[in-house]
Amino acid sequence: MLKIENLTKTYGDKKAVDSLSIYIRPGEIYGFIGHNGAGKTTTIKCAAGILSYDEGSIYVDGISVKEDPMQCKRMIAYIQDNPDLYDYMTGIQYLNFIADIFGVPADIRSERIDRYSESLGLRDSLAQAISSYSHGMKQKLAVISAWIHEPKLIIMDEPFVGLDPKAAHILKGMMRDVCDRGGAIFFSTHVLEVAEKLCDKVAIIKEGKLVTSGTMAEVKGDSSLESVFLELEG
Amino acid sequence: MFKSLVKKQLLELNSFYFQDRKTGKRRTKKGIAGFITLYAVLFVFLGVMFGFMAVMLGNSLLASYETSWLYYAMMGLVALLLGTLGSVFNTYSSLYLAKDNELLLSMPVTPHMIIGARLIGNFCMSLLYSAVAWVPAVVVAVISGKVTVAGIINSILLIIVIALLVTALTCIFGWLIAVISTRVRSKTFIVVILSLLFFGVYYYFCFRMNSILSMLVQNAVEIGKTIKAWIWPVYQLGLAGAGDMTAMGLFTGFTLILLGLCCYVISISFSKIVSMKPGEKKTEYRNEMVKASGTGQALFRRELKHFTSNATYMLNCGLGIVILPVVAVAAVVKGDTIREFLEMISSEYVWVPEFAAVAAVSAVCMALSMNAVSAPSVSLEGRTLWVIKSLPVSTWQIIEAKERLHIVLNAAPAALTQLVICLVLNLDAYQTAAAVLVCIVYAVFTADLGLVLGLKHPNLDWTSEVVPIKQSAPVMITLFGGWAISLVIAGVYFLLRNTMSHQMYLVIVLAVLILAVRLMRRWLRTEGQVLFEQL
Repeated sequence: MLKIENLTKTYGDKKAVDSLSIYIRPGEIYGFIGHNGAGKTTTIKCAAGILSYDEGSIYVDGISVKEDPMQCKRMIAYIQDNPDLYDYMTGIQYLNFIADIFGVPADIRSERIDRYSESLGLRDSLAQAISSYSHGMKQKLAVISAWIHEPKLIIMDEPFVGLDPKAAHILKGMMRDVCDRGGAIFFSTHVLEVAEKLCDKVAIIKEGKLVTSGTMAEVKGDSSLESVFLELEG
Repeated sequence: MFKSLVKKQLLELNSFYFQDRKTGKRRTKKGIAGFITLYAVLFVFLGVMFGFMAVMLGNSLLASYETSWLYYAMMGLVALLLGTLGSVFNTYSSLYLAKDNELLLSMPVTPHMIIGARLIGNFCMSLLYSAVAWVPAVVVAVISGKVTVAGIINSILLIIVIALLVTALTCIFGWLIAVISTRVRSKTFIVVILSLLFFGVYYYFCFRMNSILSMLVQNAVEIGKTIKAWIWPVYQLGLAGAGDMTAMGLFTGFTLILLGLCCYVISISFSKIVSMKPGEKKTEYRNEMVKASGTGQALFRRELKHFTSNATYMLNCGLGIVILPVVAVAAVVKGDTIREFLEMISSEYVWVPEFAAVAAVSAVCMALSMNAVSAPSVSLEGRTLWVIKSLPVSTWQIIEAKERLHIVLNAAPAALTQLVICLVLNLDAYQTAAAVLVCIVYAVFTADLGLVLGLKHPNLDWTSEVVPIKQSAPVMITLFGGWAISLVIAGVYFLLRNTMSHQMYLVIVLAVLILAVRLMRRWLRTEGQVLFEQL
């Protein structure tokens, strides 16, 4: 579903990402962990078609992000670490805007908005201005907007930050549902317990380079993900 | 502790004048000099204007001691009015919207200390504004030679006392605005309406300044009686200016008591107002089926929603949209007068009717230049840029939506206004068509000019939308550049009036504008897109 091959991205003299390769198959929840400034967000933004990159290639379902970014973006949903959304819109206006862009028919979007907003506990606030939302409410809105067109691949940067325990639990279920439908999830997190319980595969990145990757069992072996991470990160 | 708060406040003031808000770095010496010169020119200009007013009032009122108090009272009233209008919103935002309010309230600092420190900054601002009207009044009085030594001393001291009274008045109004803001729901709408009313009143006074001054001079005695009977502090201010020491003491005492009372009232309600979120109606969400729309329409609606949700954006980049219909209505109402005037003057200057047709186009273009809707639109994406970049929309679709909003908001009012003016001027169909077309293409021209500048000078790193709207080069250049181009349109024809017909001239202007639009659109489609993608 997502193939990142030898990705290199440089900011000035600094290599933020250095020859990174990751392969994510349909049905996989793929966790991406690393310390602050390791290159997670840069990798994620390159995969989402937001940042251009210097070397390497990224394919979404076999289509190159560089050569056909529009086609790739139609299959992707991306959630940023800090959900800065349009404060001048209400929640429902924002969702309808995203649905319009992805061409989601009116009846289908209506049903999905109802379903996801109800389960995440945001339904009653959809008519309110986004400017009045808390961080967690904005995060919930970003999640609903990502799910509204049922993308094949969902890329998320720290999706659990700001969510209450119930919403975090529901999001985990939603992530699993995407994979059960044949989609895939690629997300970064600092919460290693979540990664350990939720992810099928995991990659650890340090100073832009891939330190290790594989199935959860391969990466952590008999110990915990936390101890492996701390050991690898030094 | 209070000293530290004052120091912080002065640092804030200092950073406003000597730091570049965009980069956070200290301005260069040239930059500081330019900034100071700009303000100095502005204040000298205002000073001259109020000096002229003081001369007119002084000629009749300074002649005798019995009426001289009225001169000081009237000029004092103007200084109070100017100072209050100039600094009321600053007082409101510095007291109630300061980012560090919650931080300071979480510390062992009492509200009256916070307010005291903040008011020192506001006092400086009040001093600046009120002195612009009061100092010329004192200078005019001194030059006239009809002042006493006590009067001069009082007048100089009054610079400070008037500024203190202005600070107290702005506190009252600032507090009222804060109380209303916590209750009002559709704030954008109210701000726009109030601001338009303010502009209306302001322009009314500017255009009728001479007749208002004459009225003041003619009715000085009656006005004096009213002030004496109804506005006791202003009467004492007038007497103090004329040299009455008792009145000086009374006015100063009144000012200090009022300021103290204001500080007390604001202190006791400060924490409550600061911690209260603006009144927001809890709108119930009903899942109603919406009509799905295409990408282009969705992007256009996004731009429109952004524009209409922000009072600052509408007022600073869309005032011409209101002015254009006003011009059209004024042209219809004053149609006979305009035609009579043109007929009268054309008997001596035969070129005037043709020049009027070009000047009308120039005037509409000038009003259009006030609408820099597209100029800040790129910067206004700010931290939400990731949303649009992650969606399956092409860069050109994003840019085109911004351009389209500008054209939709401007082209129709401009074309209609121009059409009305052409009808008033009795221009034939060919002339009318050329004039209307120039205005429509000019709307497209300003849209593209704003976008080119917005892409060349983007600023996505702001904390308030006021920065890309009010303090950005693209908006300034589009506005003033547009005015310059509008003047050039009329000026060049004035020079060429004997060598070509105005019809031919308008066709040439149209061709030049179309060429400029084509060139800018080509740039937007190539380099402009690349710049947007690199943001």
